[in-house]
Amino acid sequence: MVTTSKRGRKGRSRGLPNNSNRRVFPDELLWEILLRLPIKSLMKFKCVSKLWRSIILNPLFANAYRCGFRGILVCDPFDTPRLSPAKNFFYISFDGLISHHVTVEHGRRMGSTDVVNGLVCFFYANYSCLYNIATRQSMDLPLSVYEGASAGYHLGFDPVNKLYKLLKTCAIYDKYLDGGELDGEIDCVNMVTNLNCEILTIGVDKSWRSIDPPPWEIIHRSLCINGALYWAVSREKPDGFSDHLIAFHLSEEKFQFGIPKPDEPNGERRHYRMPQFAPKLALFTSSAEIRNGTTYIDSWIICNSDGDGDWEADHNFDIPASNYDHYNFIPGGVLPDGKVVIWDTYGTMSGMDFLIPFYLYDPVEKKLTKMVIRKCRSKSSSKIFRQHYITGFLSYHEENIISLYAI
Amino acid sequence: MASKGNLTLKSCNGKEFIVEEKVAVMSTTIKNMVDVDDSFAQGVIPIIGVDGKILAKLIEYCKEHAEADEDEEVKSEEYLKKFDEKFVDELNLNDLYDLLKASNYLEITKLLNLLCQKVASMIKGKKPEEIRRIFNIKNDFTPEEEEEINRQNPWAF
Repeated sequence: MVTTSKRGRKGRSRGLPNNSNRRVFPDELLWEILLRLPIKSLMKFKCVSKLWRSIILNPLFANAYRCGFRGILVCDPFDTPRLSPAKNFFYISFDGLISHHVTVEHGRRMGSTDVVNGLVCFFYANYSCLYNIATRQSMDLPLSVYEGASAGYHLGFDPVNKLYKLLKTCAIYDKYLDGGELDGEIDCVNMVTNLNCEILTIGVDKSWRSIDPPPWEIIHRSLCINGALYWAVSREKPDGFSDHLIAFHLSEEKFQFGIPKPDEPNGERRHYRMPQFAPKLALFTSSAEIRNGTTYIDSWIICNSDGDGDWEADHNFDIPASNYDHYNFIPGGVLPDGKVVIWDTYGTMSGMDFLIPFYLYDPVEKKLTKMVIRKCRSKSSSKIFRQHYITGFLSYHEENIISLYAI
Repeated sequence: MASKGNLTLKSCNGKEFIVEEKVAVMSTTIKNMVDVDDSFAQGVIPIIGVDGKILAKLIEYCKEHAEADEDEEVKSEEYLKKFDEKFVDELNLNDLYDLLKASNYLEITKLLNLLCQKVASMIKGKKPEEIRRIFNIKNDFTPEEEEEINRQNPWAF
């Protein structure tokens, strides 16, 4: 049965005859040709025939498909108005264009995990869903056992067993146990009475499994690097702060505590951020500062890949600042080609558009390329791109067309 | 018979082409034949299922690329890019089909890449029904199945 829609009749045929039954390529090359199509065309062509669909959805095809395109998912952690049940995310390609908005419909404000191989999880309390940014496919995951609203979810990929796992940590607060609602800034750490930790192997487990929790609460987003999740944590002790890294090894499903942070010069306590520095673990200690007309981003410290605390020397990036009239640079991460993504936390208005500049810095050539995220026209967009909201909740990724049901 | 360093390729309709070995071995299939059996290097290599017109095209392509591999000064990357563009632009659909088949059979990877890319760029903006019409593909989905697939990806249409 052939169904043809009328709108297709106009025939924007560039070099292809509309009425020809002549074949253009041999069947055995269909796979090769589909590999060279953009994701949008692939999603569209799933309905050409069962053969085309079966190739496009074949996990081997997904593995072979590399578009090499990278973008950034910008999430809004704080700011969706309470009245709106939807949460907005923006997927931005590196030419600065918003390629699409991701709107997650749910009754509550949703959190998001780090982006791992083009996949991300959105969550609220015991609900979570897996989302493929490139294909825009989403899949509800089983509800986790513990319903607490203070849950943090962490998505990881175990490259040895080729499994995606979702880790959930949930702090149980005194107040929460009393039935009260948490509000505003509170000292969470001292109120935590218990920790609940569950894990789901996506595509394998029908329900969440309980595992031994970490000894203290994890509130930050994780980074997934080489089969482990990492967090940088600080904990107040009677004699000051103790800074550590925590790792979670995805294949053994075990936490590793107390990976020491690098030695600190002058005994000074430094504030760390943990950016994406694929494929290694890195910390940096400050945002940019200006010295003698040059903007410095200090102290990128790269750990060797297995996170055993064997730190390489500092990497300092100096950026010529003379062309820029403000200096609110925050390093966001390092791309696989070595270029550093640097966010400028000041956006500017241009008519109705809100412009967010960001930079790609080449540390070898010492060249800074300015990019601008344009066309953030809608009301909610300008809200999302307000000032500091943009930092810290960014991920870049390689796109991945894997079907969520094939994981 | 070909002189040393040259090979003789024979199309399915009997046309013979004498080409330099470095040009012929751009085809992995021919390279394997020559490597395994010395007699091929002396005699005539039959190229089954490829006619003289297509074989001439293949040789034209391989010649440019083999020379570029040898001497980047004369045939720069930019020159090759222009050559490739012109090469695929001038193909009619019949030739494109035959060249795809031939370069696949002869394992001329670079050319196969180029041609597949060409087909991909020809079809990427088409609608599914246009694809079916152009390639004479039968729609084997029920209307319900098709609607379900379309519902999953409204943004792609």
